[in-house]
Amino acid sequence: MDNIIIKVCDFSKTPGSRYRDEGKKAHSGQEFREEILEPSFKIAMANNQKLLVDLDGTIGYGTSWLEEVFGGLARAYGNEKVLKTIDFKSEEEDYLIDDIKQYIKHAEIQ
Amino acid sequence: MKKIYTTSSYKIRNNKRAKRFLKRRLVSKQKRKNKNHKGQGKSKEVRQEERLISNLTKITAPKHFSFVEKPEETIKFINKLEKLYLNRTSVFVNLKDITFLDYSAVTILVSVMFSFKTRNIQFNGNFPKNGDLARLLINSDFFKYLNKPIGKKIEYALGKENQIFTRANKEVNSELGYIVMAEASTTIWGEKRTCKGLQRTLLELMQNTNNHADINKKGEKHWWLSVNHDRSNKKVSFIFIDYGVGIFESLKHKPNDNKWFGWLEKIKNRLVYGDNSEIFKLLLEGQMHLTVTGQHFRGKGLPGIREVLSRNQICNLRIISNNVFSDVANEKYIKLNEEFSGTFVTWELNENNKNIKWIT
Repeated sequence: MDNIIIKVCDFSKTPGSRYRDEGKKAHSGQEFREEILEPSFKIAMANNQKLLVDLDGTIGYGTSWLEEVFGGLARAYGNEKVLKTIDFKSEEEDYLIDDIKQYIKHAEIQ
Repeated sequence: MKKIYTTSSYKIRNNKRAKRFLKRRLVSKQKRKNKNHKGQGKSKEVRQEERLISNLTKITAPKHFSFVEKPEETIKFINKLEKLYLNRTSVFVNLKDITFLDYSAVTILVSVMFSFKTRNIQFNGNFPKNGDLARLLINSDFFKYLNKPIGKKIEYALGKENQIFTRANKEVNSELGYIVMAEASTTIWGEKRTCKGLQRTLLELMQNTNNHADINKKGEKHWWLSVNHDRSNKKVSFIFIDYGVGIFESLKHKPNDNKWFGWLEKIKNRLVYGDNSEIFKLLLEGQMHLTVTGQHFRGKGLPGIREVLSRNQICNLRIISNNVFSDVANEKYIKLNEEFSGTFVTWELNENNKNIKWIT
């Protein structure tokens, strides 16, 4: 079965804040995680697929957004499952992948 | 003649009335005389200004008005204004004699003026005698809004695009980066370019103000962003300011369950002098994060902005918060004698900074 691919730039070219309530034009990490990433993540896990998150094509990321998306997912599903299921593509900012993996590793499970 | 005019009661009443009116006329005449006497030898403009400020508290701006070059004098000036603001005292800012004015000072004037006006406290000022400095203020729309009600809003935008443009907001607005980046890159490279470090810087600062500027509540304080285009030198400078509690005060008030709680105890033995300038250096270099939380900062917050600088995505980063001035690029951390309640950050983008093709 093919991998599932999510392009962040399809969600927004300007991802912004951590939470929805932090701005009306903030394209929050919480919104991306709840509405886009998590449903695909569940499908990928159920079908034993890989989920590729393409981080290119935006004008840049704040760390709170990244932590909320990937750290938040790890808090809900456990960091090992997240690291096993998700792959990343970031040609424009290669340092992001390493940072995200650390956010996932350090996320505390609720 | 009507009979009423000849009656003694009318005459008494009329006399009393005449005396009363005469007295009133004489008082008015004397007032007018005094006023004219005071105004003798003064130009029309001076008399107008005197009339304008008669009910306002006059406060004079520093002659060399720059937050970056003269932080202590500027903080003193801001603190005086803050006191008047808290007491709801009307203010007249005397700018006549300033000899130097830069964008950092303009941003302060504009943001302070808006703060006063949103609380319906009178705020006024005069033009600098120096024409170039006056023009700088005119372009910022400072004078345009001086005599205009502005109301309470979450977002404000003023100034001239591609010159000096100021925006204020309480929220994180990631779309703003798109507009600012398109304009700034066109000024620098002659075409739209993507500057990821610029967006990272803007987002970290907006998020910081939204989350930490007020100890008790998120989204209480405005942030101010001023973007200033220098076409001839192909560079754009940015000024970001909030009048929150500042970095150190924010850290002091972390609750028990916060990862930063008790941070001072944890870093105590890494300090030689123990003052905020030393702590700030540790904070920006990510050492404090590592010591306090046991984790690498991974680009978060202010150390993340320093990382953007070290990746050459921005340049000339300088930060003032509470009593510390930091010229981050030159690793200078100076303890100030004045305490600024808030956070001030300035940086530049020029043609040597990293960028990639514009995202479509």
